[in-house]
Parts: sequence; structure tokens; C-alpha cells
Amino acid sequence: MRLISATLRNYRVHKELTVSFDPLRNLIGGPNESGKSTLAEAIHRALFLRAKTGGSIQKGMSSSIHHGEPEVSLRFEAAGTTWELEKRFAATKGSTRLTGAGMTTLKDEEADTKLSEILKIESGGRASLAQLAYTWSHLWVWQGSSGADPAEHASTHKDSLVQRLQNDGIAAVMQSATDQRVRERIATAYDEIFTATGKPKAGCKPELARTQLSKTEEDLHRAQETAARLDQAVDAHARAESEIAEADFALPDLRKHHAATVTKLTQVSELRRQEETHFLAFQTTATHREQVSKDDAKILALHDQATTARTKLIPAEEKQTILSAAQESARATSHAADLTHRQATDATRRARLRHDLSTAILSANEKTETHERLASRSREAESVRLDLGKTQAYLSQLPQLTSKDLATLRKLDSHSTKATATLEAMATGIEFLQSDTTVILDGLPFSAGESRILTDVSEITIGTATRLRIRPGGGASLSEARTHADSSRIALSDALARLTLHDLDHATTILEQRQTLEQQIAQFDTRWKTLGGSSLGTELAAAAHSMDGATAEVQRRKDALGDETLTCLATTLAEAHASLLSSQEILAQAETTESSARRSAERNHTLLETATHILQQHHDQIATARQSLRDIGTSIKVLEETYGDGPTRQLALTHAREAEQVANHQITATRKSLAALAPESLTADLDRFHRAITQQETRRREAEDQRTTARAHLTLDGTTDPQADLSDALARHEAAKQLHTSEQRRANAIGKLHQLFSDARDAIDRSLVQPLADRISGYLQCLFGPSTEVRIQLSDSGIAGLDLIRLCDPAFSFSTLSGGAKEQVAAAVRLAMAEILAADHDGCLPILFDDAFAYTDPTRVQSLQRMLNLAALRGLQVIVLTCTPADYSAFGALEIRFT
Amino acid sequence: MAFPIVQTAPADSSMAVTFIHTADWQLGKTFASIHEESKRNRIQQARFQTLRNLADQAAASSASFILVAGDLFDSSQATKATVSAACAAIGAMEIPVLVIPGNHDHAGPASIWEQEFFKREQLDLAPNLQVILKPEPLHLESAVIYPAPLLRRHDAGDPTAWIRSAVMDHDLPRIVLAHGTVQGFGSSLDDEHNSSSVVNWIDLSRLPLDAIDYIALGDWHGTKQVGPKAWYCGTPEIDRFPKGDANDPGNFLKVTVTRGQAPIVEKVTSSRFLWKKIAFRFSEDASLAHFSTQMSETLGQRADEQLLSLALDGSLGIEASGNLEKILESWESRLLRLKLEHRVTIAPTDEEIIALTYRSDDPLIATVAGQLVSQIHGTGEDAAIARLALRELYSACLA
Repeated sequence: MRLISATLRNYRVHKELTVSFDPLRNLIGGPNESGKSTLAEAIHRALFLRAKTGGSIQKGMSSSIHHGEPEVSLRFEAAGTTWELEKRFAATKGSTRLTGAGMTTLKDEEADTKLSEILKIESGGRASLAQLAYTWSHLWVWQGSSGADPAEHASTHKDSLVQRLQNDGIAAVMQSATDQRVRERIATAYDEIFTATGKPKAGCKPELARTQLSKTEEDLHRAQETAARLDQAVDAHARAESEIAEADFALPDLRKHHAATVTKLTQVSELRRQEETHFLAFQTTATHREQVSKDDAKILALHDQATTARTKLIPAEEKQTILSAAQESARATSHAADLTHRQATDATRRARLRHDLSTAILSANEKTETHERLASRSREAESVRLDLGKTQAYLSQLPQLTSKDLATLRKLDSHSTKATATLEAMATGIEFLQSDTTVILDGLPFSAGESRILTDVSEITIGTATRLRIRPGGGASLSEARTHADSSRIALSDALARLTLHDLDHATTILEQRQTLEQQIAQFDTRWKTLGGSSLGTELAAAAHSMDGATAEVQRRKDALGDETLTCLATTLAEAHASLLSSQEILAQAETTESSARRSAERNHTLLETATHILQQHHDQIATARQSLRDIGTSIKVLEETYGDGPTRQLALTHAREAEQVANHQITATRKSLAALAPESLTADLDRFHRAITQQETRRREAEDQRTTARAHLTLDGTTDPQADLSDALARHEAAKQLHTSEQRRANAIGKLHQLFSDARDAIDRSLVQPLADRISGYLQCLFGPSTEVRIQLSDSGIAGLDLIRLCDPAFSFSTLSGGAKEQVAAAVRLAMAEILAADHDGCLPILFDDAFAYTDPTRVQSLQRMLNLAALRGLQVIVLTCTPADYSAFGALEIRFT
Repeated sequence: MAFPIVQTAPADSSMAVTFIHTADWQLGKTFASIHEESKRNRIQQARFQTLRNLADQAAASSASFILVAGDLFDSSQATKATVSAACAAIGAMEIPVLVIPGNHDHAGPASIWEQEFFKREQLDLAPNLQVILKPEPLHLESAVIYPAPLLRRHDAGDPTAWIRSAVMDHDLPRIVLAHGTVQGFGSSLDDEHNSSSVVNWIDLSRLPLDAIDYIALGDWHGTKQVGPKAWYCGTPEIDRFPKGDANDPGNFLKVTVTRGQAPIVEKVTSSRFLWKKIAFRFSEDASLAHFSTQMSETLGQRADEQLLSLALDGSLGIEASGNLEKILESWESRLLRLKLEHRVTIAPTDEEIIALTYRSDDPLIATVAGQLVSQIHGTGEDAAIARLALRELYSACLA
């Protein structure tokens, strides 16, 4: 179908407008409100809107400035011929006229019917307002709708597209109505079983079967548990019965053994008591026998001891006599030695007294001599000390002048002398030679013969009327000399005064005296110290005391010597020495003699003590032997009185041995009986049997409890039969399992069918839409370059959307594209669809863009013209309405300008 | 081994005694494999109806007593309702009913026989019931019973061992009453869920057979003579699918014994429900019609009184397979129980495969079908799922 021309009359702004179209490329330009969109609408309504449309629609088409009903005349090619369509929109008076080349003009209904046939659309020429918006909406791109998702159009025209592609042999397979029906039936069956995510739907048969299976499994499990509990109770009952039977079997035997063991133990107890009695009897007889034997042996032993003692006593007594004689002899010898010793001791004592006296006398003489020597020296020392005191007293009366002091004085004197000489050399001397009147010099009477040295301005008053002023020369030097002389003199005077000296000569004399006295004092002191100094008195007193003591000692010695005549007493020291030597010799001799006598006496004493000791020992031994002999005799007597004499004791011993033998026999027999009863294991046996009986009784009691418990478990109330329940549960479970398997298998079969149909449908759809996608891609490559592709998303309801794929970029869905891109992609889809659908319209369809690229930038508009040109080259009649026709100058279209 | 059944009258009828030998009533059995409760109740109640018939037969034959050779109850913990119903049924029999415990209702600790409720119901409803719990001779007016009660579920020894040395010095007929397994026969061998272990073994050869006049056995649910004087009476109401043709359940025995003579044994059929087994192999889709016919012929009009163990094998096309499911659905509803071993695989026919995969107008279906067809071969779960999916697809296409 191809538009040739359109004429509008009384249609809004257009009084009468005729537009002739280029078969391929048309550009209708004009400013806003110039009537471009009105033209597009008028052509669309001429083709599709009922002529008798009234109301606001009709009024909307009518012109307010031009009178008359709106009319549209179209010339177009379709179905192999040229058609003239005239449509007058006048509500009920509206009319349609359609005339084919060389054909009769058709009117109204006939015309609309024919128009529908030509345009291959049911509502052709008579669409309602509601249908109008969707009619050829893929070809008429209204202002403001250019960016709408083109997938909607693709879905709307899917069947036509598919049909067209199928006819062209482009799509290999297309589902039939039967395909569709069967597929939907399978899908319905699938939906009854599965959710959208492919999971079993609650309430569906397989799910119900699964639930039922699960329930029957639980029931079966419970029934099995119940049956198992009963079986366990039966087993427990049987075990308990068995235990009781075993215990009942074992217990009588055990009790018999226990009783037998108790009897044996009683016997053992009796035998042990007998054994004890017999043992005691045996012990008594044995002890008696031993005692009798022991007593007899003891008596015999005592007899032997007495005989031996008596034998030993005889030589002892003989020896005692000899020892007594020896002791007497020793005693006499010892006595004589003691006497000699005493005499020697006495002589020694006297010699020692004499010697001591001599020693005392010598000491007294020596100490007297010492005392006299110290007394003489003391006297000399006292004389020296007196001289020393006198000299020191004299010295102390002299001024305390030292050599240094004298040197200082001499120096001061020299200074004074020199200063005075200097002054005198400079001063004026005045001598009072004579005057009759009183002369006063400087206020002092100046006597005749007196001379004075004037060192300063002086005034002489002579009498009362004469006053003379004398001015000595020298000026300031005189004054200084005078001051120096005065100070030197004063210093000397002060020094002398301080030392209480008169003058320098005096000082020299005094110093010499002091030095002489000091030498004397030193000599006296040295002599005094040589004589003993301050300790001499002490020594003298000690010597006197020692002398007195020695004298007293001599007296005491004399008194000690008694009235013995002292003919040889020494009076001198030499005599004392000689006397001492003599007495020493005598004493030494006496001591030697005494020592010898003492040793002799001691030796004899020892001999006597030895003899006495031996004699005493022997005497004691004999006494002891005799006492022992007496004791033995007493013991023998006592024992024989108790145990009888020898024959009597022998008889008793024989009886005792016989009794012991009898007791031994008895105890041996008893022990043999005991051994026969094996008493050592009887207690253990008794414990063992007791323990075994207790164990068996406990076991039996426990088994009875278990049996009671098991019986309680087995005793049912009769409302249910566990075995029947188990059979029932097994059967139900088996049935549920079969049903579940069957339903599951059917569900799997339906699922498989559904999947196969979906896969096949997808394959078909993919092959179906690929030609469309290829065509769209061809257009878009004009805009976005050769690497641009379009992918079409499919769904059961048709084309769900478009994805634009460009090199190195991720895929963009249509909804994410910019406004400009949306316009361009949508235009490409429309062109591709129109291209395919054009095959049903003699290879051509008009496609109209009314300001459809408002968001497209000028640069892209250039590319857009390439795309539009491609559509024209592929046979489409492209009509572009724009208010900026200059932008499309490169389109090479027939340009129609509105003003 | 076959033994002659002597049915001649005894020489001295004054010493003869007639009694009913029955066993394995297993009252209270749940029949849990029957999922529908109403059907389960019917088969449970049928056992009591059978006992009423047995009572009538006993009265009609002037039986002196009834011997129940074990397993009167299905469990040693039977419910009160079962106990009451059992006592009422036994009480209606009016003649003495002598019962020994079997392996199902053994006299173990706290068994049903000790329960105070049972004793009370026995006293109130079934004074003619005598439970024999001791292995010792029981002297009746007309016979001496040598019972071998099971005191536990599994007795490692021979419960009749004590009879080998029992004193038998009287002139009354001597009857051994026992429950257990003899050579080759026992309940464990014909149970639906059988186990291979053999317990409660009865060695008949060691019994003083010359001194015994009849051995009344229980445990094997089919009627079977296992010795010149030894019989399993079988269960009076069939309760399991038969194993082999030799199995003959659903009877009780009317026995007349005379001291020193061979017993006279008469089998009386008593079972109300029929338990059948069918095996069928599908070789082609056309065999489905044969199967349907065979089912109708075998089961007839009394399907509601029958239980069927059906083993199916082979393979069917998709459509035939769907039809088989419908047939089975019907029979499962009609029968008291349909125990099904369903090993029939779906093997699409060439036509079906072509119909699904060669659909130029329906490329989607053809594609999916083609993929499934490539996966249906084999015995694994994935192949089974693919076959089922193919059938679902086939059904969807037809809908």
C-alpha cells in the first residue's frame, strides 16, 4: 500500500489542502501549528475511522474558520490497483466512497468492507475511537509517542509477523492451533502439579500422595514400634521365665549345700572346742611332766653343786692361813718405814725454817740498804728543788723581755733618733741665755739656760709687753719631720712602757739577766729529775715499807723457829748471804733424806694393802662358798620336802609321761577329724553358697519384676490389636507407596512433556524472531555502526523486550536507553516490522514519523537519514513530518512545505 | 502321597464318635490389602457367617463336639469386638467347642486366653467353649483328646512330643489336636507374604500312631490328608490366594472315629468368597479383547464375592494401554479385591508413532513426540516416564 496523494477539506486549519507523495521519501516541513500533524491524523482517520463518527471527535476534526464538514480524499495504491477514497465526517450524514481504477465506486458499508479487505485489517474504514489508537500504530508514529517501547507493537502484530515470515519461508517452523491447544493442555496439567518455580504445588495429586506416603510411613513406624515393644515384652517375659526357671532349678541344690556346710561348720566348731580342751589337757600334762622332770633335775643338780663346793673349800682355807701370816709381816715393815719417814720430815721442816729465816734476814738487810740510799738521794733532791725555786722567783721579777723585743726596741730607737736628727737639722734652736723678765715660750715659761728647738711658729712673750713670733724654716717638710720625730719617739716610748723599761740600755741589761737565770733553772731542773724528780718520794716510802715488812718477816721467822738458839744470826748483808747458802745446803740434804724415807714408807704401805686385799678377797671367797654350800643344802632340803625323795620323784615322772601321752593321742584324733572336714574352706563355702543363694534369689525377684512388667506391657485393653494394626499399616503404606510412585511418575511425565514443549516453543520462537532482529539490527547499524545488534526477549505472550548490543558494551534493555536512543531504536523496530508486513501490501507500506525525533541530536539526525533511506530502498514509503526540515536535507526526499 | 479316605461305618457304632475338625478361623484378620473399608468389612463379616454355616452342619451331622486346631483368632491380642463376636458365634454352636492356641493366637504371656474380658465373654456367650492350655489328656465322654497347645508363637520343639510317652490305657477314641508344620505343609508355606522359616514342627512319625485314632491338625490353610489318620482341615473361609492346584482351602471336616479303626473323614466346603489367580501376557493390542473376555468368563457375575490376584505382562500400544487401564479400573471396582502385578509396558504401535511424529501441520507436537519416542526404549525409570509422557501426549492430542 502506498499513498499517492491526500486532500483535506474543512479539516481544522486546512480549508483545502492537497499533498502529493513521493513513492519512497517524503519530507513535510513547516512550523508548529502549520497543520502537519493534522495531515497525518486526517490520512489515518480517512483510512480507519468510521465516517459517521460524531460528537466531540467529529467536532475536533471540523474547522472553526472554514465552513463545511471535514472531508479527506486519498489516492493510494493497494492490492495491485489505484484507489480513490473519499470520506466525509459528518456524524450520521458521514459518507465513504471508494473507487478502484476501472471499478464501480463503492459507498459507505461496502466501501468500508472493501477498505478493510484492501488494508487487511478488520476495522479498516470503520474503527471505533477505542480501536483507532491501536490501528496501524506501528506505522503512524504520533508526535510524543516515538519513544514508546516497540515490543508492544511487535507483540500486537506478532501473528501477522509470523504469518508473513512463514509465508516468506523465513521461519522454518510455526506452531499450529493443535500444537497450541495440546501445549496449553499440557501446560494446564503442569500448572495443576507444579508452581511457577517448578516445585510441587500444595494440594496436587503427587504432593497429596507424598503426604499420604509420609503419613503412612509414620503410621507404619508407630505400628512397628508398638509391635516391636510387644515382641520385646514377649522376649523379656521369656527371658524372665527362663531366669526364674534357672533360679528355681539352682536354688534347692544351693540351699542343700548351704545346710550341709552349716552342719559341717557346727561339727567343726564342736571339734575345735574339743581340740581346745584336749590341747589344754595336753598342755597341762606336758607342763606337769616337764615340771616334774625339771624339779628332779634341779634337785640332782643341787646335790652335785654341794659336792663340788665342798671339794673346792678345803684348799681355800689352807691358803687363807698363809695369806694372814704374809699380811702381818708386811704390816710390821710398813710401821718401821713410817717412823723413819716422820723423822726425816721433821728434820726437813727445821732446815726449811732456818733457810727461810736466813732468806728473810738477807731480804731485810737488802731493803734497809736500799732505804738508806733513797733517803740520801731525797735529801740532795730537796736541796736542788729549793735552788730552782729561788731562781725561778728571781726571774719572774724581771720584765718579760725577749731577744726579739730588744731588736724591736732597737729598731724603734734608731727610727726615733733618725727622725729627731732630721727635725733638729731643720728647726730653729733657741737658747735662753739671760733675761730679767719672764719669758714665756709658747705659753711655757722659758728659763735661762734652757734651749729649745722650735719646729713650728712659736710665740715668745717677754715680759708683759713684748711678744715675739719665731717662724722656723722648712715649711711643710719641717712639719712632716716634726710629726715623724714625734711618732717615732712615741712608738719607742710606748714599746718601752709596755715592757716596763726605762730605756734601751735597761732593756739590754734585763735581757742578759733573764738569759742567765733561765740557764740556771734548766740545770737545776735536770739535776732534780736525775735524782728522781717527783717519783722519788714514792720510791722512798715504798723502800721504807718494804724494809719494815722484811724486818717483821725476820721476827716472824725467829718466832717460828722457837726457842732454838740462834747463834749464827747474820748482821750484815754478807753474813746474811753466807748464812743463806749454808741453810740451803742443809735444807737440800734434809729434803733428800725425807724423800727417800717417804718412798720407802709408801712402798711398804702398798705391800701391806696388797696383802690385806688378797687376804680379804680370799676370805670373802671362802665365805661366799660356804654360804653357797649352805644355800644349796637349804634348797635341796626344801625341794625334797616338796617333791619327795628320788624314788618318789621317779614315780611321779612316770605318771606324768603317761598322762601326757594320753592327752597327745586325744588331740591327734580330734585334729584328724577336723582335717577330714576341711574347715579352712568351709567358711568360704558357706559364704559362697550364701552369696549364690542371695544372687539367685535376687535374680529371681528381678526376673519376677521383669515378668510382671512384661506382662503389664503385654496386657492390652482390647481396643486395638497391634498385630492387626501393623498389618493394616503395612498394607496402607504399600498402597501409598504405589500411589506415590504412580503419581510421581505421572508428574514427571507431565513435567517432561512441559519441558519438551517449552524447549520446542523456544526454538520456534527464536527462529521466528531472528529475521525481525536481523532487520532491526540492519537499521540500527545505520545509526550506531556495523557492530550493533538487537536481541529480542521472548515470552509466552510474545516479544517481551529488546536488548541493544554494541561492541565492547554491555547489553542495554530498551527501558534503560536515553530519550533520543529510544526514538531511534523504536523507529528501527517499526521500520523492520513495516518491511516484513509490507509483503502483504504489495511490498510497500507507508510509515509516518510526526516529529518523531525530538530528542535526537543534530549529529545523530544525519545518521537517521541513512536509516530512513535504507527503509525507502527496501520499498517502504517514508513520510517524515518535521518543524526543522533543514535537518533532513540529506534525506533526498520530496519536500513539502507548510506555511 | 495319597491316603485313602475310609467312609465305611464303624463295626461298633456305640464306640464311634462324630465331631467337626476345623482350624485357622483367624477371626479379626484385617485384610488390610483391601483398601475399601466396606469391602473389608464384608470379608471380615463373612467369616462369622461361615461359622454359622459350620454350626448348622455340626447340628445336622449330630457331631458331639467341634475341635478347633489352633488360630481361632488372627492375633493373640484380638480386640474386644472380635472376642465378643467369636464367643457369640461359638455359643451358637451349642455343642462343646474345644480349642487349642495356634501360632497366631498362641498362649504366651498376657495372651487373649488370659484376658479377663475374654473369660467373661466366654462365660456369658460361649459356655460350650473350652480352651485347652495344658498339654495333658482331656477326657471327654466319648473320646480322649491329646492336645498340643502352642504356648508361644514359635516353638522350637515339637508340641506333640509329650504325646509320645502319654499313657493310653482306655477304650475311648484317642484324638491328637495340634497346630504346626509337618513335612512340607504349614501356614508359612502358603501365606501371601510367606517366610521360609519353619517352626512349630510336628513329627508325626514319632507319635504312637497305632494307639491314636485321629490327628486333627491346623496351620495349613488347605484341606489335606498328611497321614493315614492325620488331616489338615484347612481354613473354613479362604483368606489368601491359592498357591498351586494342590491347595484346597475353604472347608472343614466332619470326622467319625472309633477306637482302633480308621477314621471316617468327610470334607465339607464352607467358603463363601472365591480367591482366584489369573496371569495374562499381552503380545499385541488385539490381545486386550481376549483379556477382557477371559476376565468376564473367569469372574462371571459374582465379581463382588471374588478376590483376584492378577499378573499382567507384555506390552500394549498407547491407546490399548489406556484401554487396559480402564478395564482394570472397572474390575478393581467390581471385585472384592484386585491384587495386581502390573508389568505391562507401553509400546506405541507404528501407527501411533507415525500419528504423533509425522504431523506436518503440528510441528510442535511432532517435535516433542519425536524426542519422547527416542527415549521410550529400555527398562529404566526415565524410559517409563517417557512412555507415560507419550501416552499423556497421545491423550492430549485426542482430547
